[in-house]
Amino acid sequence: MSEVKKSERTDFLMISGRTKSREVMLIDTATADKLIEASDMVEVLKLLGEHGYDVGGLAGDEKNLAARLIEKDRAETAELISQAGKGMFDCFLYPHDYHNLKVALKNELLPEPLELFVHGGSIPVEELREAVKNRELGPLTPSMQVGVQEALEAYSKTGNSQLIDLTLDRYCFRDMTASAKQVGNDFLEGYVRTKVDVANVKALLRMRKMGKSPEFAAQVFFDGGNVPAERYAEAYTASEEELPGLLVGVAALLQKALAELNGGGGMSAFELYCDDHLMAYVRKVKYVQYGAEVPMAYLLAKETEYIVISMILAGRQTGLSAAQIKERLRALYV
Amino acid sequence: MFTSGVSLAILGAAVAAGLAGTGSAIGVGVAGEAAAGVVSEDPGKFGLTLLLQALPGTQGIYGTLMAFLVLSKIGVIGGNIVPIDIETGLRLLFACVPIGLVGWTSGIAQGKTCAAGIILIAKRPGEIAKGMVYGAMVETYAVLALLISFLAYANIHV
Repeated sequence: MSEVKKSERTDFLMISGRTKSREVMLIDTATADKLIEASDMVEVLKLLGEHGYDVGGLAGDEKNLAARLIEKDRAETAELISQAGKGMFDCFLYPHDYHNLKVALKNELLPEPLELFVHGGSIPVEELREAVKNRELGPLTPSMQVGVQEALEAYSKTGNSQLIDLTLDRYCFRDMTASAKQVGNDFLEGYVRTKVDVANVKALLRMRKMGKSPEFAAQVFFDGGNVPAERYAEAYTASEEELPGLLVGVAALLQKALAELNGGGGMSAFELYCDDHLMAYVRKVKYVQYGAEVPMAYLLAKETEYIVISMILAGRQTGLSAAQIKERLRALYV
Repeated sequence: MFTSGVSLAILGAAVAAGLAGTGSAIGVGVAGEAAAGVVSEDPGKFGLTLLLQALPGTQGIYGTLMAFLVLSKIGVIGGNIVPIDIETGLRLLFACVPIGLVGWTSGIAQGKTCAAGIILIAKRPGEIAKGMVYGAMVETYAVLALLISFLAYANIHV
């Protein structure tokens, strides 16, 4: 983990000025609607170009369009954010690293088609890939190293590739929690706790819906949220009415998530609500003018924007109607 | 000839100019950092950000004005130093304290307010007047401190 110097709000004035200037380029709901309703890809690319995306040379070539657009922009955003201070934002980069670790391991172990590596992590993709390939894990964080070893062990014992994901997700949250504590920023620590809560509530209700055994479900919960992992495991078999009382730290999230799940929208409405809950947390700092929260919120806003763009482009390509795409979209920051 | 009274008066001038100037330097620096961030993304906003960056500079001017008045009164400026007793020196020193202290703290506070205003105009350039009003609210207390310092100073006879 990089060295982090705990800082005052005024240490982030310049990066706050830069990111607030760029916030006007973020895609809002109205623009997302225009992207969905655009008559053709030329119009879509024109709109994305107006919002800062480098669309040069992409017209007429729709293969992996979203991934290519996003990768370029993500690398640029990571470069911008890195100017705020070494190690300050590792917390947001770790999910990319862990995604890349999963891809590297699965590419090696599974005969399935290759997933894409993503740029914008704390470790350059090539360095990470080589480290995993040669089992020389030095460039990885200590948690990543242990995570990779455990994931390999779990896979060799069971042949279940899901355990690679679960093990690495657990270590990802550990790294994120440790990084947030090291930075010592309340917003960041709260964000990680909320993210863990959302992951746990999603896992809890999804596992129950799928009828998974309590023993299996117990492996799926993560520490680092407002409720310890073992409490979820203990509450796993409780009735829906009892759950909020047993998991007090996430009672409000749980009640609303259950309402979405049982309200006709099913799993997709419930997952959408959980993601929007996380964005609602990020939006709390929307009117903070400067401080570490500003670039953090910008980075998270961009990540949500990437998801929304990917969904819109994928929806258009698969021929979904505008209404179908809209109901799947996550809440945007602006 | 320097007496103890003169030394105290010079100390007062130093408090006025030094503390208020420090507050302004920090404030202008704070606002300048935010301005540099905004201008690096949109160079067209240089003029707007400069207006807000300049606001916290006034405390330093008030402090310097007060220091100039005190130094003039005791003849340090002009070359004919007037010998004053310790009590008169102390009076001049105390007269300088309001603008020194308030200039220091309000300069820093105004710098932060102006930095927020600069970031406000990064997203909404049409709102510069509101950003300036927020900054000017902090200025009120520096002006009041200057007024008190001046009233105290004006009634000290050497």
